[in-house]
Amino acid sequence: MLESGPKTLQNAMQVKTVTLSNFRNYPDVNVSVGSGKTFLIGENAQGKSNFLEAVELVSTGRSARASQDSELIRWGEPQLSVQVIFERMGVEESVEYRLARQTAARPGQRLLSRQILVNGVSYSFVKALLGHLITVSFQVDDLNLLRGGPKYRRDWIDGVILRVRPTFLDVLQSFAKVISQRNRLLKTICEAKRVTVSDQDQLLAWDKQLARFGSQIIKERMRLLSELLPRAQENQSHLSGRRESLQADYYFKAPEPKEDDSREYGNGVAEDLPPASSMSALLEAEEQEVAQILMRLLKERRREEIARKQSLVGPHRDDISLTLNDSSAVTFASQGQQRSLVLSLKLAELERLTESCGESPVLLLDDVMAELDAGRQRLLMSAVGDNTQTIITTTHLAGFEPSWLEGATIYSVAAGAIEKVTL
Amino acid sequence: MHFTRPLAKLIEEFQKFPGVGPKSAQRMAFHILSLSSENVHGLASAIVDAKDRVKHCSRCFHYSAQDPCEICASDRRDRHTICVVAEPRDLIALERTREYKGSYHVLTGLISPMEGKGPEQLSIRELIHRVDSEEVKEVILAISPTVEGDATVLYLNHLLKPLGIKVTRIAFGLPVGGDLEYADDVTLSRAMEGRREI
Repeated sequence: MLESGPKTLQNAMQVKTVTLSNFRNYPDVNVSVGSGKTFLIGENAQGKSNFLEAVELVSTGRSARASQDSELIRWGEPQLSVQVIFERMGVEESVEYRLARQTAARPGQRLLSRQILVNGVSYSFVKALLGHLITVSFQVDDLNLLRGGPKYRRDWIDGVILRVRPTFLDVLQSFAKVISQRNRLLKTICEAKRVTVSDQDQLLAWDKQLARFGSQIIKERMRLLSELLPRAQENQSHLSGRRESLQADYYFKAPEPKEDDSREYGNGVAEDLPPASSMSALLEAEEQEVAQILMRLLKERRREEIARKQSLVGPHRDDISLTLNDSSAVTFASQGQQRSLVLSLKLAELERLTESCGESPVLLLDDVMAELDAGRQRLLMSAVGDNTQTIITTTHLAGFEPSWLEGATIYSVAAGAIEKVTL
Repeated sequence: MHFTRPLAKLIEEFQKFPGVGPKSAQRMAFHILSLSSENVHGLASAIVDAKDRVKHCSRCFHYSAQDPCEICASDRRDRHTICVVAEPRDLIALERTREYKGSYHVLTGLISPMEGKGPEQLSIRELIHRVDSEEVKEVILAISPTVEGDATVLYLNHLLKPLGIKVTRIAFGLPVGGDLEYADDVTLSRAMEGRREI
């Protein structure tokens, strides 16, 4: 793969124009994106990342940065719209995301109405966007794949699955609902301070639901991880001059005294792993076998779950462990090794999605080049080749290898305005 | 916008209806004002009358002004088969088909801990009692394939199976007249699971 130099892809997904209206700090902009590399240059806080966020929004249907969707609408404006026209397999398509503030029935109530347009057809649900414009984004935050809590790794792998198979969203949403319902039941039981026969029967029904959707998620994650791993290993080995070998495994997360999924650093390693619950043992297993294991674990931890009013078994607690030469990549790898590892994983993602799209997805690089030394830049360059459309944000062009700038389209970004620059 | 007190109150009340927003509520309120006094009194007494007289049937929990309800009282219905539904409106939908000749049992909801609904809040105990005492041969679960619906089915099956009766669930599949290629993946895979020999 990598030895063969730049990839010779026949096709690449291609963004033609991005039109933003009242999105974040942009009043109205319409940008034609170059067919090869497009640079957005600007000082910090001018809206470079917002631009990429908008492209990701119409690609994945959600913003990873916004805590509330309402903050996406430009201050004081009633509605936003993001429209991207792109070419996929040589056919022009259009995706649009509209979000409007609604008149609230009661004061203080915040209502938003969402409208999705895919090739002019209107939908009310975000799922309609999935599977059209496929993007892969590299961000400074990607280091959280190693340093962050298990949630980063779970969200990452789920995000890749969603782009390969959009209907996975139904499974994720059903599972999330089961967990909410089950947690509420555990809370009710805990507060009643006794478990009736009816409670036990009801818990059993929710256990079966958890195992059913949970096993589907676990199997999907394992399947995808096993597809990504050889590619990531190849990249890592290449970056380290064949000195480092990467291993990854999927774990049913073991208990931790107090786990907060939101933002935790440094405790990303799964410990006290129960035997026969890792990927190597379960990759071949049928969904039903995984469901049976979940049912067994749920039974074992019933008492603890009630005491803590939380569902402690299931894919929402699982983790992916990453090791370099057999020691934990989080604890033992150097900064440089960690950067290489993250790059290896992300490039594996790009390669996997290229395969499932039948052409290269659009690559979004948000201020990451400053983080990469010449060797890693070269690997990225060779992986991207000339057949991947890439949108890059940066504060300055210095630090880019000259080959990156050849034939590139360059824009400057200042206070929500985007202007073309000729070098 | 300024409404005189009684009008504002009426709009507020209409807005509490399911599916009614501020604008529809306003239209409904203005419509009431345009009606003759006689018609308005007729409407008001219809509301009160329905609320006072329509109760749950003590046997199947369907809405009815008589107890037992029309379906339970009929001697043309097969009492050996009970079709379990979540809400009275599901029963009405099944009755529209005119295909089913058995009796019904309305659960009055689905298991949903988040809404404070457990088996005790539904008419599940009464269902088990009926199965025990009425020589029931088959229980058909006509319950939607949602997360809550599936959990309710699992719970009911766990209780009904040991009683030695036939427990079935209605099939999920393609809508009649619908195109296979437009069906979503989940529906298709459920339809595949529920396939049968022809």
